[in-house]
Amino acid sequence: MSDQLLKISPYGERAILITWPDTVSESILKEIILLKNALKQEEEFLNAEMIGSYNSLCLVFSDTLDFENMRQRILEMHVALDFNQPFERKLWSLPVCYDARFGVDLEAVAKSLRLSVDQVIYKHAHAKYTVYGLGFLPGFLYLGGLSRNLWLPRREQPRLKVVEGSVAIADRQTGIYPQDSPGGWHILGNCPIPLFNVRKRDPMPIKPGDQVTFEAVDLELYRSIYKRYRKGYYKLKSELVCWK
Amino acid sequence: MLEVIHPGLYTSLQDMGRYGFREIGVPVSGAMDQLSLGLLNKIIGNTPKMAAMEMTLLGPKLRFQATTRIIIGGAPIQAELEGRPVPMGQLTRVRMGEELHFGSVQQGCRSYLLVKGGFQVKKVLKSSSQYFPLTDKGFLRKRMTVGYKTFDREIPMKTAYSLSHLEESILEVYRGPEFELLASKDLERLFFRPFHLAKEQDRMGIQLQEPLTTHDHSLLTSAVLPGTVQYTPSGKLIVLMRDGQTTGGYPRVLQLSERAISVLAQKRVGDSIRLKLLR
Repeated sequence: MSDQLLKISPYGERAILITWPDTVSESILKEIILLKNALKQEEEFLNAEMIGSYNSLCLVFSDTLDFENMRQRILEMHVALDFNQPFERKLWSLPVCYDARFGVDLEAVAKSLRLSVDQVIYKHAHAKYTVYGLGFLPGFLYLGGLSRNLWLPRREQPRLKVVEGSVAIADRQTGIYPQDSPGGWHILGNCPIPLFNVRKRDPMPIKPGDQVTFEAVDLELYRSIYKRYRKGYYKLKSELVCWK
Repeated sequence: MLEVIHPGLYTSLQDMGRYGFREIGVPVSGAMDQLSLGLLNKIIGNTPKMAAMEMTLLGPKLRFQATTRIIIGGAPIQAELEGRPVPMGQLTRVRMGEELHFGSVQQGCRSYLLVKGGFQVKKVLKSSSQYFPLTDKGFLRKRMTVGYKTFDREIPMKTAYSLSHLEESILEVYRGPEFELLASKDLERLFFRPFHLAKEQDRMGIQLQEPLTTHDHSLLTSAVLPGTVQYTPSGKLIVLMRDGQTTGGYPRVLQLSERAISVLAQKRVGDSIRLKLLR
């Protein structure tokens, strides 16, 4: 992508915002991650926090910065990127139970979309999603790649409490609530495995750029996975795949 | 150890912030008024990673189980150590068994209590700042105990206690990434007339009472920072504070200066502020 399409602007005293065109695409996401990884190797950016999502990358420094100098460095690094370089990302398979006791909005969603509940579940569980970023809550994944047939604006009245593990959809995205929280998304099911854990050295193993698939499990299997997880026997399934 | 006899209103333990985890959605947290905590840390000789107690409008009642040196600062607050008033910004000796009773914040919103060496809190993701549900609790609770180390020596006062930002009401702001979305009549509204703090406010964000014109711009979820002014479709302005989420989809029309975040942290519901555009 040419540099004219890259917008670099100061964001307050301590941050720089790099913005790409206003579209959701895997190629932009890959470019963001490649640039982020390249910047992380550079001394000037070592201490910067980097928040990437959809079409932007925000660099936050611990002190005031020389914007013009940093802008030049970012452009240099960007020009030097090899976009065709294949690189690896993880493909995660997460169990989701679409039982009505978890999927409290299944009926309403099916009705709004003029689909059957089974069709909603099928379409949601048979897609490969991409992690475009994390935010809203610690460990909340923004997953793109939702079937066009499931696009639906968020609920008019947000719920005061959405339970931990809820798998939900809104607009063109799906996501998993990592903690109990208020929320306005439509809840379709529940994932028995907490993905975000502050006691682990890597509290959130699923990273921007990774892919996620959902494996539909019935209530019995959901409970058994949960039990195995509690005893420490369950490990999330993932494999390395090449991102071309 | 320190025993919480009464927790006060929204009392929490905070350091200067939890950095390095925003990429996975973890807010920065940390003291709302970092100018005050920064200066108090300097006076007592604590580091930015050491936890202090942040008090909001009404302070706690505490019993100290070991002798130490404390300092209280930020917004002026009523404080009595065994019935004797404790002056703001001065190193004070507290002996084993003594009770420190805080009353109301007299002017401003947030005050800080520091002990020499900091409160001993189990760090979560490298920070002592309380933020629920990352930490077990978001605020101090009755009968909770908080650790600290015994310390009984004089600390030379090398830095003067002086905080000029407490009385300020002008917030210096930069253009935010979506500044251009503001209509010209809104620009006039923003920079030539005062705003008042709405009752919707906490450590995550502070809403302003006066709305701008409504709009229907939304953007792809992108990073937001403490001090980012979000412009919601109904025209409301929300200033994100230290516990604010890491990403958002509302236009980010302004960004407060670092100083302005601390100035705003000392304002209460109904207080008036003005915005001043820098550069």
